[in-house]
Amino acid sequence: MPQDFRSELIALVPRLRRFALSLAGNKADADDLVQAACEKALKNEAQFQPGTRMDSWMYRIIQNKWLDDRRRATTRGVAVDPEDAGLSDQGKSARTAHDRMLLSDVREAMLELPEGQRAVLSLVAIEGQSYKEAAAILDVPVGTVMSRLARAREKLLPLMADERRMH
Amino acid sequence: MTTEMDKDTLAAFVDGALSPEESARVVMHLADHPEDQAYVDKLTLLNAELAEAFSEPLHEPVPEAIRATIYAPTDVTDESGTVVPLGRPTRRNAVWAGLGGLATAAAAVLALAVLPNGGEGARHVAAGVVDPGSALHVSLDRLTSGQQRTLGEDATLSMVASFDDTLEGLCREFHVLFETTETFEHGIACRTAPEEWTVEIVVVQQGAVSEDSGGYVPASGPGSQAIEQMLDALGAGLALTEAEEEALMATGWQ
Repeated sequence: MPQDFRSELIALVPRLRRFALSLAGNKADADDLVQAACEKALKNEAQFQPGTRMDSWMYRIIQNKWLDDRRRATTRGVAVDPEDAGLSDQGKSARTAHDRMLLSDVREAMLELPEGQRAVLSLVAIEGQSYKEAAAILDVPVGTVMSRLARAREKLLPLMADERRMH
Repeated sequence: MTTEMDKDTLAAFVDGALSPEESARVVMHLADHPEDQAYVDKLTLLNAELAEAFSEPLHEPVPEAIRATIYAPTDVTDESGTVVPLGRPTRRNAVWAGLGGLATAAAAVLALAVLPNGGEGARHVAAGVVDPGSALHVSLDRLTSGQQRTLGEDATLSMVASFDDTLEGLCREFHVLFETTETFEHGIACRTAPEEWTVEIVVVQQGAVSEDSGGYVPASGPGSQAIEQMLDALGAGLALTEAEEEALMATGWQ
């Protein structure tokens, strides 16, 4: 097994964990997803074409695994307490309590989105993927990416009151 | 005068999904459509908030379980069929035991009155793009790990290690010791563009340095831990050898 495949994969882990966290909503599930996805990637290394985007390939594996898990799960929309989920930084950064509350609002709003919208919004708004890349990862047309984005934002924008605008 | 632009176009503008020509058209439109400008501002802020809300994993080391999975052999077993762990690779070839040793090392010590990052009165290293004319920039370009140079009268910069294969590409770890204020700064700068270095993180420890210790700074201090985490987050692997560093220097760290 070439080491450069592993090196490239481990370099991606922080971004993969962020993507998984935005889908799963808590770190434990997110890390399980990333770990399972890495196992799958290593098993299917032959399918990966060197020179192509490993991040897109990994996002796709994670998203598919997440959807599989969700379909199997009997419970849906599990409530997440940011403190329990390890999302809080215990005030380590210099944010005010007000700011922290806003970020937890954003997390909660994200978790309330339907799966397809959540995945598209995460890939485009958080991971910075182009519409075309997001479409390829999710295996949907670009038009679907755009309409899901629009619907997701329709839900999130009203939560952004005027006082939440940039200082 | 055109009416409001459709929301999908404005969203595509914010997401960087438009061609340069289309983007220019949106910019022109926004100039005299404050309501659309406000919508664009809100989308931009929402994107930024989403990114920040889930950003924590970017600042954390790779969890051991995931690292173990990635470095676990998939095709190597010993005769008993037991999986043989490859083990975590050593990150560095050499870690500086302390700055005291450096003073006597055969290091290139260059006296310069220019301060890190440039700027009048900028006594300390700041995160962000490094001023191309600054001593820090020159040091990042030219010092191999283990070398040091003085910065002004009381500061000494030591290059610690270089890493390839990080998220940011090439990155270099360095120390700056300010003797009079007993301030120790530990930073990582990455090659972010041709001839551009950006300080990604800098951790400051005050009063951490004493005469007795010969400038020794405990490797396990909270500052060092933050640097370790940053290196993990960047996916830093093995430190480059001196020969590798010299080869990179010859090509301008490309």
